[in-house]
Amino acid sequence: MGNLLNENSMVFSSLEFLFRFLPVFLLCYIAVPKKGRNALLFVASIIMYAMAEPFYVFLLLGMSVFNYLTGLGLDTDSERKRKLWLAAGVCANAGLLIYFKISNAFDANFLLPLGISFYTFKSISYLADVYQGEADAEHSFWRFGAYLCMFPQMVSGPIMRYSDACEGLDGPRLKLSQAEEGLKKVVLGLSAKVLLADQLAILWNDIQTIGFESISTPLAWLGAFSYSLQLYFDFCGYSLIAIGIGQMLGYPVIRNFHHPYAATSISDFWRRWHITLGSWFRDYVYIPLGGNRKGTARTLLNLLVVWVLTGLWHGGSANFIVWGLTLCLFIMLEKLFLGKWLKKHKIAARIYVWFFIPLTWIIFAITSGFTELETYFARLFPFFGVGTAINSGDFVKMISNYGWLMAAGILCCIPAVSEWYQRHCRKWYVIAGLALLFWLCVYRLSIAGNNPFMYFRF
Amino acid sequence: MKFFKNYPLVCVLVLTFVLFTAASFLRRDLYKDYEDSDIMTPEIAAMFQGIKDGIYPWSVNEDTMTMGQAENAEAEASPSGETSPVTESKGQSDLDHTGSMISGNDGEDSQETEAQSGVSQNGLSANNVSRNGISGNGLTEENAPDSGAESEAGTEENGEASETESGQEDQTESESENTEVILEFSQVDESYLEDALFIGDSRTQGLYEYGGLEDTADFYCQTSLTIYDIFSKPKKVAYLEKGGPKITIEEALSQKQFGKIYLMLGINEMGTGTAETFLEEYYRVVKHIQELQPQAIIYVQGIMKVGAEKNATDPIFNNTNIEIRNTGISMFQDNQNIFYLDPNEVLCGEDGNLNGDWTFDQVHLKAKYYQIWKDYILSHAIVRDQTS
Repeated sequence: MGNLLNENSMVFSSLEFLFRFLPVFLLCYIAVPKKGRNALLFVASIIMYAMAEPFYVFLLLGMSVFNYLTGLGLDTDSERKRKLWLAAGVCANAGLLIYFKISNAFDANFLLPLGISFYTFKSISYLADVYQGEADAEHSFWRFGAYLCMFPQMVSGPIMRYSDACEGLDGPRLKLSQAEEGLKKVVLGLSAKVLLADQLAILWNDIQTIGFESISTPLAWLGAFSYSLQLYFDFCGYSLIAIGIGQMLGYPVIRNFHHPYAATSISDFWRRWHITLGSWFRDYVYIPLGGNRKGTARTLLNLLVVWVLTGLWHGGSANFIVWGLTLCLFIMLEKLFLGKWLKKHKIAARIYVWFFIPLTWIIFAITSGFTELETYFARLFPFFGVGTAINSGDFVKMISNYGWLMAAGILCCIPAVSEWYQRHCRKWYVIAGLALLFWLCVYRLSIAGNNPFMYFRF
Repeated sequence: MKFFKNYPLVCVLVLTFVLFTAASFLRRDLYKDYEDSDIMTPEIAAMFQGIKDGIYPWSVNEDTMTMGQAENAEAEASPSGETSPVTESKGQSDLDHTGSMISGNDGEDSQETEAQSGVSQNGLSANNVSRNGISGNGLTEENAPDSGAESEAGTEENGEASETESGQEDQTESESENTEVILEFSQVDESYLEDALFIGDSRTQGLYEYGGLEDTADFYCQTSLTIYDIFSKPKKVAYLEKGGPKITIEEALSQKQFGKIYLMLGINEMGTGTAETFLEEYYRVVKHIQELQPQAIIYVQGIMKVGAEKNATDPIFNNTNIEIRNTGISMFQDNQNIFYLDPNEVLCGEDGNLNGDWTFDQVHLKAKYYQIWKDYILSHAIVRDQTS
């Protein structure tokens, strides 16, 4: 092997993680006495992080110590000191995140440290909770380190609250029933990522290869829907793996996605999409700013702040701000009058969500500048005469190639399907299906991975 | 039993894992070509890669057998076009679709990784050289010595341009009849392509989809098609009627005659073997096409280059390597029946890379730029009737 670095050490959908890191860790986790588990989780997480980010691991370690000490500092009776500690803690975490986001926005080669968006947000929530008395300051560094750095949540969340984590940090010894349920989630998440998202991603790549200016309008719409599904299964799948591993380790199940595409308004969509991020902004930005208790104008302003920040959190380039502002506009309109109307017109509400959400995802997806974005919208709404479909039948082939994937994806978005799964998840055929899905994923990863030419087939 | 009932998924996954690991361990002989020295890669990955190529744990190990056969074939000196080169087949990777707008047709095979091919390749090159030496392949006698010379030129670091030119002149002289006139490229309109056939990979597929020639010419192309897929390890990418059943190119060319045949292949083979092995196979393909289509003008096109970004970062798929192969391909032209076209003349910028704005993935043209390639083809047409 020679090289200790392994960038796949934290990628759930890699054979290295699934067949090396995870099983070895789980065996150790079972083997060590209860007292040592948090230390083990912390140390193992740091090792995995170091293999992926040999440099920034020191930043993570530094921030762990800093936030641990700040938490202890908050554990005092002097209100003035508590305010100072909180301000210092929040500024340090937010400042660090802003620094990296800005650097990344101006220089695309400047990569963000892995997971920084998540661990700084976890830290702020912890400090705020301790300040508000909703959680006690953590006196054990191992426990705090395990909470902040735990590898399942490092790369893309969910942003677990400290009070939720406590159940796992001092919970009962690992239970096999938890392992069984957690494993089911891992398999489902892995399938969503490998079998749906990664395959749908090829369609979006194909559209970019053709060039936005040359796609037909049906293909532009197909692309918007397919990208919406791809993003959902990618993110939701990843979250589900994280939650599943968490459950295997004895942590409570937290919901990060709740059938977002079954939403009946855009506000509703965002209560169902990346729930831990939405609730973070609600609890630590929106409500502290006054929420909706200070009149309509103030409410709208608070919403604006939240959504500009949400946009920036997702990425530094300008399209993310436009994306945040667009969502903000819809949510404001829904707050003012649209929401009431949508409540009365259930079918129209669904169409509204399915029409506008993919459009917002297009703004999210196209990071290469506004000209490209304009071109795409001109192809979606071909009234402006920008670009021409070189092959007006291009979407037919795409549907024949990816149609079944999209159909499978849409099926998985239906709440009834998930309810059916919940009812039957102990039946032998569901177990057999899950096992089959798992090996199908491993098969796909085997034939695609380890292959330096993975993307070089023309 | 109760344990299994309570925790079925854990049990099933652990059991299947043990089973699969045992299978791949016991049949290491089958999967040794796929093995990865990195201990971070689980053993079962090799088995799954093998299964992708149809090598199942219960398969009989034919490895030693094929080797023996290959040697026999060499000894017998029977260079029939069908003898399959040993390469390919092993160590293939997948990810069909990737990186191409074309995708779709589940390409069955693909690249080998370099390391893997290295082994088999040595065997092959020996094989092929002998084959070329004999050449013949039922070629007309006058062509035979010449072809030998040419292929040698191709093999020996592509010789020098002047050398081949003189070679070609020799040929022109030696060939009687309509040799006095040197054929020149002229501008034609699209109807010229009505009896044309394009053979190629995803790039040619792009020309088909976005070049506006779908009702004019025939296209035998598929994503990830390689030169080996034409005759040696034939893929069913051809047809007699559009929309009809897929057949191999050999079958199609035996039944249907074309006036012009355009070839562009070679980007997928770059991770496989060497420029020499590629050019040897290319030469065999061209010659065999000539046998099957004696009337056709064969245009061998230089491999389209890649964008600057890829050129700068990719150790294999870069323009230096493409140029080496293109120089070789250009030597196959005889200015009578085989002509070399290099669309890179119009597709690349001054820096010699594919125009950055014209490609998203650095490898394929964006749809609207296929027109430029097409125009280049139409302005580089050989019209025989005029000259003879």
